[in-house]
Amino acid sequence: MFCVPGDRLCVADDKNLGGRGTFLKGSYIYAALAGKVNIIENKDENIFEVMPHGNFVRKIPQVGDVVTCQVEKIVSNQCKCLIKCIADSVLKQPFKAIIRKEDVRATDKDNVELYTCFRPGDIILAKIIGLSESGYLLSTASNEFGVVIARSENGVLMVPVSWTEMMCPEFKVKETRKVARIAIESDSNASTSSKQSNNNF
Amino acid sequence: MFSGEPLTSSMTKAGNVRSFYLKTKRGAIVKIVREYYLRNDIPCGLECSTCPITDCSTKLSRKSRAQINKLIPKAHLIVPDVNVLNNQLDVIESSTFGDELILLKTDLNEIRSTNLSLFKRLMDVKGKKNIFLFENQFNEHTYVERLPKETREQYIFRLAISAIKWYQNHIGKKLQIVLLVNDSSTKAKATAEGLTCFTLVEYVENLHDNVELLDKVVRPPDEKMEVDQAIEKAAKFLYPEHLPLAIIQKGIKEGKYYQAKFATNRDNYLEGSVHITMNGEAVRVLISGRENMNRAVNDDIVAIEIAPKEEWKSKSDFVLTADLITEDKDEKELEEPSELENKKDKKSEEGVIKRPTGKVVGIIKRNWRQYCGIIRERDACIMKNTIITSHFFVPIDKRIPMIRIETRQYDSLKSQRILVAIDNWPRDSKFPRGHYVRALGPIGDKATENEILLLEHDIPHLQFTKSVMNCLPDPDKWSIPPEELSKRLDFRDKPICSVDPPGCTDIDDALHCIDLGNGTYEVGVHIADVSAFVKPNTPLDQEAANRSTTVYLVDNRIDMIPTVLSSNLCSLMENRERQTFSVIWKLNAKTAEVIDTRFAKSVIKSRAALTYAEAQLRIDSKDSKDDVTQGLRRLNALAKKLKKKRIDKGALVLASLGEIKFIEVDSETADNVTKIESKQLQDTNSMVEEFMLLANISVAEKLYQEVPQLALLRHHPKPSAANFDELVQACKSHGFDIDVQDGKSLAKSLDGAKDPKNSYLNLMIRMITTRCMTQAQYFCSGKMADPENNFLHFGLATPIYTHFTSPIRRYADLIVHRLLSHVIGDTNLDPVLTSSEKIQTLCENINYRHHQAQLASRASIKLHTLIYIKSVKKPLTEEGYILFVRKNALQILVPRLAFEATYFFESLTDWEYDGLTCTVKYLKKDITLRQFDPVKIKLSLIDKSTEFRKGVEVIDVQLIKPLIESNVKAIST
Amino acid sequence: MESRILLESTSVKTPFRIDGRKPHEVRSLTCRLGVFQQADGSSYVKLGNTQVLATVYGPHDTRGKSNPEKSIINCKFRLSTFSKSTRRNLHRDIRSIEISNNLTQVFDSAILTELYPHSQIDIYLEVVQSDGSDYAACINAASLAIIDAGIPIKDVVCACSAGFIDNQPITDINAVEESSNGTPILTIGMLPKDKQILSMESSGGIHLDNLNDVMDAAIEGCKSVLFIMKQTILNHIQELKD
Repeated sequence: MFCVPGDRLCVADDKNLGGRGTFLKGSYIYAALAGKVNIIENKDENIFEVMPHGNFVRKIPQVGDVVTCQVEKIVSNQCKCLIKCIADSVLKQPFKAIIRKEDVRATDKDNVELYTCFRPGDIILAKIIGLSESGYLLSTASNEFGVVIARSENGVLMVPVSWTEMMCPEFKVKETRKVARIAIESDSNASTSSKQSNNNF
Repeated sequence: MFSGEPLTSSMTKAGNVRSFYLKTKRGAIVKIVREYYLRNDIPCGLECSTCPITDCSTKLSRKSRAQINKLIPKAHLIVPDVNVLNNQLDVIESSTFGDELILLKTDLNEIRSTNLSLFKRLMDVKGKKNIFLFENQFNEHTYVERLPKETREQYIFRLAISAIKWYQNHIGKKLQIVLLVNDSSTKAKATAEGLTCFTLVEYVENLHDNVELLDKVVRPPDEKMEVDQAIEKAAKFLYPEHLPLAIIQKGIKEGKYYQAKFATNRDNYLEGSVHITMNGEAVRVLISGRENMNRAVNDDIVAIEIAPKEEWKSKSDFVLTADLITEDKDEKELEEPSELENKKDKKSEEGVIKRPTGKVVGIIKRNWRQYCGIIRERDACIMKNTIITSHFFVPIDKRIPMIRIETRQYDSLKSQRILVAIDNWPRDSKFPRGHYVRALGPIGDKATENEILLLEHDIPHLQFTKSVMNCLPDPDKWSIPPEELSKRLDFRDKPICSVDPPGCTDIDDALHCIDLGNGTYEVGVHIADVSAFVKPNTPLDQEAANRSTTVYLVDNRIDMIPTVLSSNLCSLMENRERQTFSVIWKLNAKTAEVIDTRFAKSVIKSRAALTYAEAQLRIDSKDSKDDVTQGLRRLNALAKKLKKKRIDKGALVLASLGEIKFIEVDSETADNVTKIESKQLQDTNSMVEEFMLLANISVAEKLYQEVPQLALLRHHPKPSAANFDELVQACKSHGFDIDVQDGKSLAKSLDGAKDPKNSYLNLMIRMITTRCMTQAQYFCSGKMADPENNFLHFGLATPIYTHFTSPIRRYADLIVHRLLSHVIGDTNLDPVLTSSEKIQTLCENINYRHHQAQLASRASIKLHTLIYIKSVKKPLTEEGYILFVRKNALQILVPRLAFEATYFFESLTDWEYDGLTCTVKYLKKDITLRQFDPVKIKLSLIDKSTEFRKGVEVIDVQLIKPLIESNVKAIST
Repeated sequence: MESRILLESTSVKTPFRIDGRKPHEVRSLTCRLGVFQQADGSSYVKLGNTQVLATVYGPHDTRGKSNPEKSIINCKFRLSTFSKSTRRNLHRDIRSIEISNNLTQVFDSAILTELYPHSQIDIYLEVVQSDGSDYAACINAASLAIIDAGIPIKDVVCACSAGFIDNQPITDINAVEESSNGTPILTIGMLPKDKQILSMESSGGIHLDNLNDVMDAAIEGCKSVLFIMKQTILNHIQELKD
């Protein structure tokens, strides 16, 4: 069943809830998007949601989202980045975000040297913890957050070595980063590094 | 789900676009794109199963017009072509032509864009007859695109053909659709397309009942001619060609030609003048002579070219009317006495003021209407031997030339007044051509003459219709409704009285004055509240708006609103409670300065309805001490002070023929003249006048202050110095200097121009001054620029003025009442009055009607003077004064009769004229007559039946003192 | 003499307007969604000869201040230089700014802005051809573009103009009627479901007595417009699914 914004979907009560793409007004649930009406039937309740055409939902970063960003520049006590993706969906336009010095690591927060954790151009996985005037506040204070992709000073794609180091495969030079621990199966190198990284947090 | 209404399916073929190019004022070319929609739901007017049902009021029947015409015996419907509608409207209007016509909307639009007055007539006809308007311009079935090289006429014709073809298909074979056209070439084209088509002439000739119609038919110029017309055509073209419109417009833009309205000189029909603006100044251009007038008729909009300065002439000193035309022996050509053609000899030209002169090069718009008059008499024996259908029609309006008409009804029409319309004026014809419309009644019959007066001046005079009378309350049962009583101020206990001429039944104003103590008076002017009875957008209101003014004829009064209101419910009668609109002032008792003004709706009960004489008596009598009389005395004293203030500012006191008393320009109390007796001016006349003026000025100021875009005001533009030339010259010849710089100096000079030997001198000078004035006009303040100068009322010397005090007899006052009522917060403003455009249109109509009413009044006075002279049954000897000296006549003022007589010199060679000193010398007796000299004349009736008017008497004037012999014999009865 | 003729009798009481429509008929309306690929949402509305393009970008990061509670709506209206019969050069004229502000307010109320704090939604409108009722067409176009962009909105905002000529209320004014002397015009933009009026704009003076009739005419026009818009939207969605 297709619907148009403003169409009344059903009565709002304990059984019927509004999901994505709907809004509640008075005692009814109305569609807020144009698209196909999807009824998710659980045992106690039905959730009405509207799947927009094109199958993408407009998203903006919310607190608690895991986002992928790219580092723009490093200032003395914070790192400015642009949020490029929210979870799986790629954004057309990046959002501005910052990572404060104290949010980079969970341990030993104050003695962090930002330049040793991130470099401009790195792709980072982070979590949104709040909002400030200059953008979203990110935190990489967890094992699974940190640098995912980085290039060495020579421009070569680096390989993670430990939770603090990545290595350029060509020139065998090591550089310091705060590396994200991403679970990759069937890779002996990776398991070695993951064993190593277990100790130090 | 919310479901809306779909777009109606009857609109098919949407998104059609018509584009064309226009040139803007600056000369840039713009492409205009307009879309249009074609429909398939247009009704056909008959009882038809396929067309949608509409609430169409006219329904044609399938049996219409059966058996009335020899050409088409079975039932048929007529579709008149555009040219037929344009030219032959009189035939269509007449009842014998029949109903059951179809009018095409495209034709109607064409007429509307070219000739608005004809369009209005057509709509009137449509209202009276069963004529169906077929909306073919958006009809899907009949629409055709305009081809690139097609002219407008061809396109309109093609649209008509397409419409008729579809129509014929639609209604079947039994009922035939017939197209009527004006000429045979169009007929051929239509027949080639398969339509049944006839020319109107053919159709009318074959109608069974066509006697009346045949006269009304306009025959196209190339049809068969009468004998004398053929001879005329053989003569060479008498007039220069008119320039085509494109060249005229180009010339106007370049400044070579000027566009203006042509006005024929009332006294000399071979001369006319136009008013143009040259270099920012208003200039009056003279156009004299038949060739220069070039077939322009009075009121036409023409294009003129100004002659070089060497050829400029002076204003004609002749008095020339059509009466003086004599016929030569062969009855073919008509000649004016050759001496009268404007031959100027050098001697009389010197020193006389020359005027800019010009000639007519083209006609931009004809403003022909229907004219009243009679058929020129033919010699009886000639009429017996041959059947002549071509006659001359002599209009009553002296400014219109004679018209050649065709009629077979000469015998029955020769003693009647008839109505004739002009059709065209070809280059080779000395006179215009026209056709007979209808007969009005026997010549000399008083009712007919009155009717003609009203027709000639376009005065609506028919009885009020039923729908109008239905808007009125029952006078016996009416009383002021309680909600009105509660809303209005209660002035019923104030000492209010009204002062009016004797015999006045429509009292619209009342006054009171109370002493408030400490040197202030409260003065109240209460005006009948007509707006409480005449509500906007009712038939009563529309009829009143159309009439715009009450017309005062000598023996008759054409009311603007029905008598129930004007003489009863609105009139402020004695001891009756009436609704009024009041203006209350606080005035300083000594100086008559206005301290405070307020406006309110009120209820009054007039204590007394006095005449001027009665009021004066009460003021003068020492015994009366009641509060009404005391109020009158205070008012009298205040009025004198107010008047002095105005005179000091330069208010003018002038005179006119109608009243022979001193009047103000735009007098408030002098409009309702009903008798010829000259009036005595009393203090009380002036008293009422002053307060009416004050009320009008106060209202004008308030309106302009509160609604500056919408105020309906009245102004009197200052005449330019050139207007006063005649006056200045006349006074100079008697040794008086008139200073025309501004109102004050003019008033002063007029006061000084007195001759102890000639008591009427000052009056006559004032009369001439009146004729130099411009017309006072109504206007809407939102549409007038430069309020500082343009709002001025020159004659009353006030910077702003309006009419408020006579809503019973003037529509402008009613509008001012409605505006003021809105301003004081009493009522909501009617939508019509929220637009300054609409108010300006109303003003233009009121101005026109007012002017026509004035002309009608004057004509009525003239008519009754004629009847009076006739009734005396013997020649009258009267005192007179020479008002103007002309080359071929003297214009003499007869004060007792309030009449202006013209004495024509019998033989021009006996008289010598001097333009500089305004004198003539009768050579035979060596008598010199000067302007303003007193004379004695004898008025008698002579029968001019030997010449060309049978049974019509004309007033003949003979000079007794000084005695000039004459050869004309007077008749005894 | 024209001055003799009164107001009432110059107008022939015709049931048809200058372009052949009856007083309550709206011009032919065509809409399309998704005309531009690069914008988040776009639409094209053709109301008679008035053509409007709308594009929507967002929600995206704000350039300056951001509102922590809701999204900022930014609306820009532009009348193309070639949209009327004579070329015009003004871009930042008062009328354009006024309409931009009005549109911003309209959509501020209609879009569920609470869902997107700290972000901005841009709506750009361009009148490609102007033939009367520009403002109404813009509201319709913007509404469709927002729906195309998938931004949650309370209802399909629709708009229509109405006027008062010759004592008769008329729906959907075209350019000729707009420019004729003294015609008052009223444009109403509304949320049809709740019959809530989001924007009512008028030019010229409407008398109090006539106001109700003119408003009714505009609301009737909105209904007709809404019908077409809904059809367009549903067709568009179905096409995409296929």
